[in-house]
Amino acid sequence: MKDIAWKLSILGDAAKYDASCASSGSTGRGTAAAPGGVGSAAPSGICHAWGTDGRCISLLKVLLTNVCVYDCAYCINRRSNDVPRVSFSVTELVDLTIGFYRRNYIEGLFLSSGIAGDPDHTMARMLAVVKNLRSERGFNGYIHVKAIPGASARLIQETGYYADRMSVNIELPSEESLRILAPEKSRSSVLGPMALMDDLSLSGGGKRLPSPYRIDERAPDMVRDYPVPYRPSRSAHPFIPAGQSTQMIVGASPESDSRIIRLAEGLYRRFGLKRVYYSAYIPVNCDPRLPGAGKPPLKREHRLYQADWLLRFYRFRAEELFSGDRGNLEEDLDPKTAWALANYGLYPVDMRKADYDTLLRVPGIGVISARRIMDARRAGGLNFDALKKTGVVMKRAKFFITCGGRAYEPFPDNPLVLRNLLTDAPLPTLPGRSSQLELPF
Amino acid sequence: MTVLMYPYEHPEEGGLSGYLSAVFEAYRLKLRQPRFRCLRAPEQEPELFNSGLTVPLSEERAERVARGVMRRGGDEVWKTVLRAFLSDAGGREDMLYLFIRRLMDGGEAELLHRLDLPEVAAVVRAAGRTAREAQKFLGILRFVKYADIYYAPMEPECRILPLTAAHFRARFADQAWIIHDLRRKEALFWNKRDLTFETGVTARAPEDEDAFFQGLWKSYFTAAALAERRNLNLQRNFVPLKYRSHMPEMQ
Ligand code: SF4
Repeated sequence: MKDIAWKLSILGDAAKYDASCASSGSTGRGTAAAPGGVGSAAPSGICHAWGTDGRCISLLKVLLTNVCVYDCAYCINRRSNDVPRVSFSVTELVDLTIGFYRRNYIEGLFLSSGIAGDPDHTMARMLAVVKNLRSERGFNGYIHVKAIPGASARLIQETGYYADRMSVNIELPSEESLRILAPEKSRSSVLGPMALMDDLSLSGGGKRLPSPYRIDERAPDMVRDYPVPYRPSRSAHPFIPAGQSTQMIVGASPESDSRIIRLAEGLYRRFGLKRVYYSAYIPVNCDPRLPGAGKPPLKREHRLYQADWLLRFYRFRAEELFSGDRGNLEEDLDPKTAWALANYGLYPVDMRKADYDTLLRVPGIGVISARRIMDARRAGGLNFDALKKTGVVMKRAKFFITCGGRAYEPFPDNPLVLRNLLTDAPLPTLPGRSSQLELPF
Repeated sequence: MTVLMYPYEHPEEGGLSGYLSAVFEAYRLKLRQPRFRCLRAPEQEPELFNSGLTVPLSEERAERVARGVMRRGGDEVWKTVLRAFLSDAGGREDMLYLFIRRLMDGGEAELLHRLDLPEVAAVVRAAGRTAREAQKFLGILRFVKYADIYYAPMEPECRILPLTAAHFRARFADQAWIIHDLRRKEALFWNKRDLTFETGVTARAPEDEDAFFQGLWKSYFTAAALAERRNLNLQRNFVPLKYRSHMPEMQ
């Protein structure tokens, strides 16, 4: 146990570039069931700590090993880097997880790994960890495991019966960039496991509730026509009850926001992902294939999260956000306000009459306030005072609404003037990073 | 103006039944806008002691009020009443009384959505504060392993101990633990079989007993942060300074 601290600081550090730390969505394991077992799942997820970067820490996010035979340009663990290489033993990692969990430091484990030896060997060792946690130690906390690109279906499948969530990171938003920056990976080595996991979720005892993206089977870009490779037999265990997620690096390669958001939409539709994470590129290696040192594009990342939010909760389609030949989201205007100004003819909308979908498209009105407005209306008391108490951000909303035909206060109803008034408003808290909110269906 | 003083009984539910007994009494006396004071509340102003009417606990009367609230308002309203009562909002008992009257007078469908009524808005806001703080503490509570017992000190603003019991009991059923509200000197004890609630708990376990795991946790906490994204303001929004003293990673 003596060098545990040393391993933890290396393998925790190496795992920190993954944006996901969600612990929500588990329905499989309830209250501590087995005698001698420890832990419970909280369906909405719990944040336990916040680092100096303001990111929520919910899970112990570590690599099993940072040894890797691949050489992805953007990765600190790539084969050609001269860094100390360490590995946890199964027992070390299991003891660490349980020790942290019992002190309420964490909600569970997020296990990733470099590819040591070959993909199957690596996946098998990860499987040994989660199997030990669940079967030997009776651990009921949250477990997220990375699927290793190229690992065999059987290992991924078995792992998924112990895990709450699995993910495989697409990292780069096009096949072209993947070829240049992660030459040992391919579209199929990444999307293959994704399709497999989706298929297992649907047929392997897990049940995926309908998502809006299922209705529309068009799937653009990389995802189009991706074949479903594997049909398992039915099983009683829930397979990854919290579903799967993925991550894309933003700013390491030249793809536009439009490309990224369309791809995300395709992934939601085709593979039923619960989340797509966007990670502002942070240079860790000097490499001619990559942009040089610079600040991570946090603002761009933030706008992508907002656009993603519009897809998942506000019933927008990707193509609506990129009208004409616009390739990128605006930097100083959130995508919903940008859309509203571009479609200013649809406003103002009346708070006493507008339907739910229309409310959702008003800048300053969120999912919760839209619901509260519907409720308040039914209870029979909607005026501007009540409206403010629903959580509507009047500062933004007032330019787009009336209540019983009256405006909140006189304002210039000219989109160009409004644009000036609405830009550079202080950013709301970053949705993707700070909360555990997930697709609720 | 009449001041009703109620006893602090059944601390495991935050003393609600004492208060509800007083609510019953206020109804019986047909008081329009009485004041309520808990006999044990630290913040009470001493001069009010003189003019108060002491109402003893009556399980039966408290039960009748509780059933009335549930019948009229349903589960959601009952939960809101409990949470607002557990909050630290000044004058919460007085405004809850107005809220309960409004509820019992009836005529308001979906009372919780009537945010245009001041007593409803105040009760909903107070309940939200309590719920949010309780939710936060499910995450930021830290246990120190001391001999075979896991000990967690906390100093929340609202009386959230009763709201956290079920969660930690389910989660840590197989370990003995204590959660200690240092402000209110109350603690929950779990011995792997029974849950007990004690008041007047002043003894504390040392918090630096568990150095090995605390050290591991700190080194993980440090490693996990991205220096390029350093944002202490954001961190402070999520973990206000007032909560940090019992979190080893913040020391
Ligand atoms: S396979 Fe994973 S760990 Fe290995 S170099 Fe690529 S990104 Fe890094």
